[in-house]
Amino acid sequence: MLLLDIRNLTIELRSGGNSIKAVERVNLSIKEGEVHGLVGESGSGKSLIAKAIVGVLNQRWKVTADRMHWRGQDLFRLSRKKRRQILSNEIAMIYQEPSRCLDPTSTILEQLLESIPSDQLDGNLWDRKKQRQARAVALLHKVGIKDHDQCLQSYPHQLSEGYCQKIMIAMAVAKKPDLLIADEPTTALESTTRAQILRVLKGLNQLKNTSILLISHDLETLSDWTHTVSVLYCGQMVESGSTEQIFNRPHHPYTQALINSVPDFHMELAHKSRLFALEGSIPTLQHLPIGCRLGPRCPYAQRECVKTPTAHKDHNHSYSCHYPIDYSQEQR
Amino acid sequence: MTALLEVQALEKHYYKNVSLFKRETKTALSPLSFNLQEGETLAVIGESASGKSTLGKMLAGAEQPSGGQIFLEGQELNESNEKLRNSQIRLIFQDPKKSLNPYTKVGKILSAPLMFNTQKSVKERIEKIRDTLMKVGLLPEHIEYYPHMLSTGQLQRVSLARALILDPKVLVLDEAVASLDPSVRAQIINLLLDLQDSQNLSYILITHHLGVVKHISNSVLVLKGGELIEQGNTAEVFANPQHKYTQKLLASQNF
Ligand SMILES: Nc1ncnc2c1ncn2[C@@H]1O[C@H](COP(=O)(O)OP(=O)(O)O)[C@@H](O)[C@H]1O
Ligand SMILES: Nc1ncnc2c1ncn2[C@@H]1O[C@H](COP(=O)(O)OP(=O)(O)O)[C@@H](O)[C@H]1O
Ligand code: SF4
Ligand SMILES: [Mg+2]
Ligand SMILES: [Mg+2]
Repeated sequence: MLLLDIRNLTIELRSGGNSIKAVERVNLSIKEGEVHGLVGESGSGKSLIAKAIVGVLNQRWKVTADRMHWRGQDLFRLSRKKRRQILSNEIAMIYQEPSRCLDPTSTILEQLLESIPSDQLDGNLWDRKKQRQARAVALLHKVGIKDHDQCLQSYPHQLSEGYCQKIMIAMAVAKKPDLLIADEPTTALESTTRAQILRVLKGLNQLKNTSILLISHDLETLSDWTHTVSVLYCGQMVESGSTEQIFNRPHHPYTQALINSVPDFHMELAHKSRLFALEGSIPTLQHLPIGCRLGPRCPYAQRECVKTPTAHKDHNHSYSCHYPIDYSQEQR
Repeated sequence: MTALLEVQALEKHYYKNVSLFKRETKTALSPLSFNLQEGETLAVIGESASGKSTLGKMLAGAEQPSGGQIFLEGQELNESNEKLRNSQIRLIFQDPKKSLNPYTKVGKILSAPLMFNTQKSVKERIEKIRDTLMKVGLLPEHIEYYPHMLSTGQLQRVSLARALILDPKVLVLDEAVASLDPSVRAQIINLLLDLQDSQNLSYILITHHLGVVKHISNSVLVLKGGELIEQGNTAEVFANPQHKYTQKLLASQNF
């Protein structure tokens, strides 16, 4: 069954009299137990989508969708209270800059204890206190922190970013969520720590069957272990499908450009040869192109592209382009 | 042939006062030596706190070494020729948003190093700024822009222009490419490669992105906890890493 099923999500920024579609008619669905990657360069609207899902966007934003189903229930039709309940019990989110999200004035122990829901404990007050302590230590072990005593007594600024990120994950995991939204959890970290964090997330998925929406600006993070991937450009979903389909047979020019721009992904690349690079840069909300937003940077753009392309669906692979890359004729 | 840059037994300790009477010594970098040839790229890899930035800062003169020597074209760099080093070895940081003052126009950002380090007249300075902006793929009009009006990719080009404006021989790039978005990163890498070809520039590339290291560096240093544990030709080290740590590091990213 689909855990999360979103159709035509639009997120508009109200500014003055008019409104700007920062995210335009985006579809996103996540199956139970699935790791879904959401990739797109900075400013493409990844965080907006994540925030819209957990309902934390403020009044300046107007969020609409044809449907936003959580386990078959339309979140938009539920009472505020019920919705809050589902969101806070079943979905957890971790953010890009861990040290900024932790409270600088209290110890890790205090913050961890606070994140453990009371309904997971039983017995009298004394028992509960002991259980909480034990849970806190167990949570740290789960995210790969071994020197738990020292860690628990520390304040966030005394720990590295990697440690803080692991603690953020521990706090998110404390409520045993069904879906974990990880908004660029490793962007601020270096490679060995990054690999550790990804291993922790991977373990959660495999051992606890937790679904994960893994948001990233780079494809390398996603190539390894996501089941499915969605590619976002400038608020429009350009392509989504299985990780294999996306990496091996991208149909959208933007996905192809992303893959070709990373040296890791083509082995036969000659040393110091020039990389494939799209010209220009992602437009700001004030200067959004009409139709396909990749238009001004797209090597294949034609007149037709001023109309917004609709999604082609081919099994579970979908892409929105008037002139998609066609593998049937290419013999290369 | 002498190397462009020759580093001998360079080391760095930091001192921390633990109490009134006790001082703790922290070794950020144990003595290390290497050479960098003109027109080549040396990559520095290793986990965080391994001493990469410390090395970069000492080369660029932003930190005093605790010991060892640095030679540029055979000439030892020390306090007596600080100006030479400041113009010949330039440092670029990770986040252009943080390293560029948002309230200073691009033109002014670029003229500051010229004023401090050269005798150029106003007219010559403007000329040089225009040339350099064009070199990094920006336009002379950008002189009038404030940093907040530019995209991240354009900002990193401004940092690059600021580094290039004194016609350096060596650029130290401290995590200046990997964290950029892929399409911006590809543009900047191509620009670095073009500049290396046309000006015979040398780079010290500090990064965790091993794909980039493999693609653009000639040789590599592997640091761990302030120790140089492996060095050599990049292709050879990647194909046949000797140290266990290097093997682990290479395995943490898929190729
Ligand atoms: N509070 C805000 N006010 C105005 N524009 C915003 C705000 N937050 C985000 N944006 C804009 O919305 C777009 C999408 O932002 P975001 O979702 O943060 O992108 P991503 O997470 O993919 O980097 C960007 O163009 C960004 O500038
Ligand atoms: N100004 C300083 N004072 C004290 N210790 C420092 C200072 N700068 C760096 N260090 C220490 O030196 C070591 C190496 O740091 P750094 O060169 O920044 O590593 P890297 O760039 O590889 O992450 C670290 O243990 C760090 O804590
Ligand atoms: S619709 Fe047109 S502009 Fe958009 S990606 Fe396809 S070819 Fe390029
Ligand atoms: Mg974001
Ligand atoms: Mg550093």
